[in-house]
Amino acid sequence: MTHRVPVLRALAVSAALIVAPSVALAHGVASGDKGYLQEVSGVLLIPFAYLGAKHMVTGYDHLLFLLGVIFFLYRLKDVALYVTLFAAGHSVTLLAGVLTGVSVNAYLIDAIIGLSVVYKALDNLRAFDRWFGRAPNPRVAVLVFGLFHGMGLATKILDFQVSPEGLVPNLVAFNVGVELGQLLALSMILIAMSYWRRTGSFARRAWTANVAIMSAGFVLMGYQLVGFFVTRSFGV
Amino acid sequence: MPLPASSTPPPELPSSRALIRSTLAALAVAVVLLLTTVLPAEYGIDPTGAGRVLGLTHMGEIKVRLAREAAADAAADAAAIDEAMDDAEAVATPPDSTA
Repeated sequence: MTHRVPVLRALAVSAALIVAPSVALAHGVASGDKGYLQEVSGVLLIPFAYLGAKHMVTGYDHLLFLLGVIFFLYRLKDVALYVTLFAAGHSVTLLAGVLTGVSVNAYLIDAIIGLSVVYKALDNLRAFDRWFGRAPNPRVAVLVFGLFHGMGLATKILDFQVSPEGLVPNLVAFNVGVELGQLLALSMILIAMSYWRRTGSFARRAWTANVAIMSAGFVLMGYQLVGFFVTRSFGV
Repeated sequence: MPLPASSTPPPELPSSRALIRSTLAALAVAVVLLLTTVLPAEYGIDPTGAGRVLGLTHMGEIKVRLAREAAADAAADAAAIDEAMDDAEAVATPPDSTA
């Protein structure tokens, strides 16, 4: 994944490659929530915020990426900056994706999210510095991957088949919920990390931990890519 | 011991050899996990036979069958809902209504 390509062009190319009719399949979504959303219509701020938060707190792919992003961030100011960039990225594509109704195949987007986990782990291991002399700007990278994470969120909302009534306020509420859930999850990760950093094992195990994160990213990619081909065979 | 204050990790770079070895190890673990557990349990795809032994392939086969049925149902449902909405609108809006 190159980060020097302008964001819009990268988006256009990837959209052209992977836009596909979404498979009507409860993918990564609790069927209870989907059922609820198909029953109701109108402005429902708190329920949508709750679902956004739930998606983030229970979304291990987003959490793994965030863990990678904050792994070597020690100052709260940096954490806030990177999380804001990530949030800006995924808010844009979440809103744009749902409002335009452009459905990106959930499996391919989730595979890219898996790739973002691999990328961040490699970045933490300083592979790009070693291999290319310099790493891609980490701020741009987190923003670009934020855009992809947002496409994943948009695809999930589209899969909910929510009523068009009150869609915009509901989406904003969902997005606020995503941020709240992200803050909740991040606080827990940060608390655990700061305890770990105070022990001697952090320096010794940081390498292994990032290799483990990378491995998990590869598993996510394989899981989603195979899912893409399996559901294709349904011919829906 | 002071910790680095910024987002940049310590200056000494790891060797390319260590990086490649670690990346291959991560990939190998991922492939083994995928082939023996994730693919059998999620999609009933069991190239090694391990999924059958672990009882995971059955889970995947059921999931794929249900997903196939759900995909077919969803298409039928969408058509039925559209039709019901049209009927409901016709009832709610008499022809001479100004609303």
